[in-house]
Amino acid sequence: MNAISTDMVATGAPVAIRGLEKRYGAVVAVHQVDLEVKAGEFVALLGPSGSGKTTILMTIAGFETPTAGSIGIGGRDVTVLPPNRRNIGMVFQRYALFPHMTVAENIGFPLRMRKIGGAEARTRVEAALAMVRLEGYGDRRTSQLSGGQQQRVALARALVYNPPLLLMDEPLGALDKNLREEMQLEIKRLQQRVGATVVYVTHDQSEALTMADRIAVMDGGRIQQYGPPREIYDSPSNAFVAGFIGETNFIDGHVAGGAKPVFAVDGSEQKVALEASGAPREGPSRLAIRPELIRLGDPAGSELSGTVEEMIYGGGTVACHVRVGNGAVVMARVPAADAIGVRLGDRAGLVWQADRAKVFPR
Amino acid sequence: MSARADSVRRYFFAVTAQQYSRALTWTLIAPLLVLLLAAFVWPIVKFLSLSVLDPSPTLAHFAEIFDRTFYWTILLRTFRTGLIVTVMALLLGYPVAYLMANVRGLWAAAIAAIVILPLWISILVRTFVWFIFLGRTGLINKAAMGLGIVDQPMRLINTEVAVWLAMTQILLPVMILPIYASLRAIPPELGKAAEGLGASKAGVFRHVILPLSLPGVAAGAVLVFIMSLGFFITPMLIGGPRSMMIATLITEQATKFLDWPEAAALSTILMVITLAIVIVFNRALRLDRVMGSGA
Repeated sequence: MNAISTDMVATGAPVAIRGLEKRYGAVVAVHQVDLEVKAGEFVALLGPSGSGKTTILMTIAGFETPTAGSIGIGGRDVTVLPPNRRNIGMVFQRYALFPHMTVAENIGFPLRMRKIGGAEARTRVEAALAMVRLEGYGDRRTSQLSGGQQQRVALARALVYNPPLLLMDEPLGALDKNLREEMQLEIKRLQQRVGATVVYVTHDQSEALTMADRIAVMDGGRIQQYGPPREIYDSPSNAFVAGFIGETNFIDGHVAGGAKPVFAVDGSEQKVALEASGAPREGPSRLAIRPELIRLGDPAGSELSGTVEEMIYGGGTVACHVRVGNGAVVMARVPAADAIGVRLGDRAGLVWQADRAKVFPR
Repeated sequence: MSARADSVRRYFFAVTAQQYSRALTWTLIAPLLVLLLAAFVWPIVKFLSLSVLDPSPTLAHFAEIFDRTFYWTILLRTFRTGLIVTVMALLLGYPVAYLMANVRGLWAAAIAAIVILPLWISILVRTFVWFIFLGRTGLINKAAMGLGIVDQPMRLINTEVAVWLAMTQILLPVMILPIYASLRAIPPELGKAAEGLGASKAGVFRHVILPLSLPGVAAGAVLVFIMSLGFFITPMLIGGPRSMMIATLITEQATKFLDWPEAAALSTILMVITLAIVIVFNRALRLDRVMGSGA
């Protein structure tokens, strides 16, 4: 097992995407995208459907030819290379196992295509099966396996020839929640063990936050933000990222007041002081604050207050919906203990650290 | 177009039907069942029974067939023709089915029309068309004589080759549609996966597309083979008496020589052999599904 596992270690290849553009007729699917992935890095392309994330993955794989720009894998320009000569591993959402082959034949397929046969192929297939904890399943038909097992076979098939780059297109999309979380950890563990670079497409933010070293958040064919999960979550660079990742309250208003900037909530007399350094230019803006960063305070002593409209019990926390002004309802997720004594219709103050609120131009 | 492809697919590949109550099911199929029993099963049993019951229980009619090499020649020719037509239809039909499954829009509609339209034209018409090509004063003879390749018209019609050509052309859609259906049923990501895992375009076809289309190939081959065994009009008109096939022989026995028991005995032999082929093929297909081709 040890001897085999060292055998499975490959060195990841860096990926360099420069000025990538993909147009379908008049529709621009990917708009001038630059993306650097370091060797051995796990990068998630995260975005809603139609954001261009799958198109980028398919261009890296070679199934789509870019309209403009270049793709480099391991320092080699592969922009016009066909998929079978890019030496990539690929895992699809619907597993794409070959139904006419056994589990072992499926895993051995890439070896066969590389003219690796006989004892070496058998050893490698066995090692790959062991790697995904499916020893003894080699002779099964793929249709006899559960969804999770099928996806592990797809993973083993993609890793059996030690590809320096592994591309995954929503590989856990078809699995139920528990299995998905289990597989997230397993994929991450495997990736760290084999050292391959991974580009992983998903629309599930928790998946991206759990697994990725860096996340590229995509929308409208553009990368909105590219950085480590923590940075994406704590310092979203625009309103889209703030809204797409995690839960966020948006409050519409105006920024005013120069050196000591304040945020005036639309449809209300209330004003919230802003962090001077991070405040945007004056004018119509949108303030973003995460529910878990808000505490309930004394309505009289707080800058922002409102009427408690709804309280949703969630075990350790309670989600309090507080209406401020005439438009905005702000949700505060507070420890259950803090919500004791708060009743529907009560006035409540909303308090947060000024530097945790993000203000984006509107 | 898809209606026929669908019915073919439904016949050969299990498709879970919506569930109806037993009473409703029987009510719905009763009229057809009665018609089938009265107008198909009963006459066939009655007719075939002639072969052993006329005038009294006897095997003489079968003995007569076994004694006459002439019958054996015709039977052999029938199966040889069936085999050749099946192979030709497969070789010509597979690429068309593949093309049909892999193009989109106007091209797909055009190819589908070319494949399907002949099905709406009478077999008689489709058979006579070959006279225009192969007749003494047909296109090929005229061209060959015009170019000075031959100075006498060649005998193209009334040959076995002419029968093969005409039957292949007539049966081609029956081969193409099931293959097309099975090609369309292959999830497109399988080809992509194979390519991503290192297979060339040819490798994708050989290792993934071709093995997965084999059920369609088998269905098409069985259909074409069995239909060609019973072909009557085309071999009679194009082949003439020298390339007689069994259906023509049976007709002649019954209508020309009024030897109904003999016709019944020949029909029984044809039916038994046909059924045997269907059963063997079905068995082979099912085994294939269990063990996988694993090629």
